[in-house]
Amino acid sequence: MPRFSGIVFLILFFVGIITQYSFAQAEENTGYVHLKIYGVSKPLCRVDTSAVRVNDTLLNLSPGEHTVKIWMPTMLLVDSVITIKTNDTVKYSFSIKRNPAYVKYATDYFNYKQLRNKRFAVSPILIGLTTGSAIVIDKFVATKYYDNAIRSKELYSKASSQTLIDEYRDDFEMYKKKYKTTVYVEYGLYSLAGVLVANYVRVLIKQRRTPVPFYKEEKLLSSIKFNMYPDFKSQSCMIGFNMGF
Amino acid sequence: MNKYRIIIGLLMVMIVASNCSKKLDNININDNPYDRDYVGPIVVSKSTITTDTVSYPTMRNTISVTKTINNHDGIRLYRNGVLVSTKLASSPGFPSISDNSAVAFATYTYQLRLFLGSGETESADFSYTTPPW
Repeated sequence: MPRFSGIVFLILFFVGIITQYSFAQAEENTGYVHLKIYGVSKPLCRVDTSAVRVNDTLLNLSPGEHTVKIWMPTMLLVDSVITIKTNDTVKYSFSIKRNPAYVKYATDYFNYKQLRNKRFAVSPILIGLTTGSAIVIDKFVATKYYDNAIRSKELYSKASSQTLIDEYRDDFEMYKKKYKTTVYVEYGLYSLAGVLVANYVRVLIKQRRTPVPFYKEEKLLSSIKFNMYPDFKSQSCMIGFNMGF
Repeated sequence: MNKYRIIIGLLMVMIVASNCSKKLDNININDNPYDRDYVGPIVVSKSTITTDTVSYPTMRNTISVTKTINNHDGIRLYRNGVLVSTKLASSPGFPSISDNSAVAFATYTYQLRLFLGSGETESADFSYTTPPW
């Protein structure tokens, strides 16, 4: 039995030696890289064929060259090569920038909203102002002149001296003229309101025919399902995606 | 916006506005009979004339008056353009008025005038020959 245990001991010894030798070999075939990506907090990142979701982190890679691709929806693709040194830590930083096509889309969409809001708001305000002004003129100006004219007529009918008769007649004619002018102004404003209403209808039709700016994302990393759409209700751009490698 | 549509629209407005402003156009401002520019019907006229003797040959011609207005202070009688008699509305016997100095067989041209303050409204002239009784 002691002979048998000795053999076992020798076997375990050599296994241990072999294991430590392999471990030493493995330690000699590794390196580290510190990746820092500016522009986004947690971008989609692929190193060779592996997906990583890191930023400002240390990665353990085999020495040599590795392909790095970094992307986020609406951003430009960063496609680069990093070199890892054995038993060393290298630092790489990348800056991810907004896709100019998306920037143009955002500008176009902003301008579209500005124009839409202007079209929807300006005409009703003007219609309200003109109609309101006409109503105020009728209630507070035209009615006053009409009442004054009627009163002058009543005073004329009761007057007996020619001096007063002439005075009241002149007053009547004056208020009658002012009343007529006011009525023309009032109905001119109503007419202007009508023109504005017709124009508003035209603007609404034109707005309906105005295409909404659209941005189509080009999928730059595989297995990414992405969709983006402007949400008018919350007045924001909704982005949804999931990634698998 | 088509400028012709605007012009047509404004013309329609003017038509509508001119119709709406006719409310005061229908009011007649020359219907006061005391107005010298009065163009309405005569509001005072003679109804009948009776004659009685004051002291021959002086006769009294009494003219009964018909009037269509009630705003007056009284009536005046003109004979051949001269005022001969005034009677206030509150006087007894109104609305008749007399010429107390007529002469028998004389023909006069009379005119009645209602007065209110300083204003007067006239009747048409009428002639009358005073009989001897």
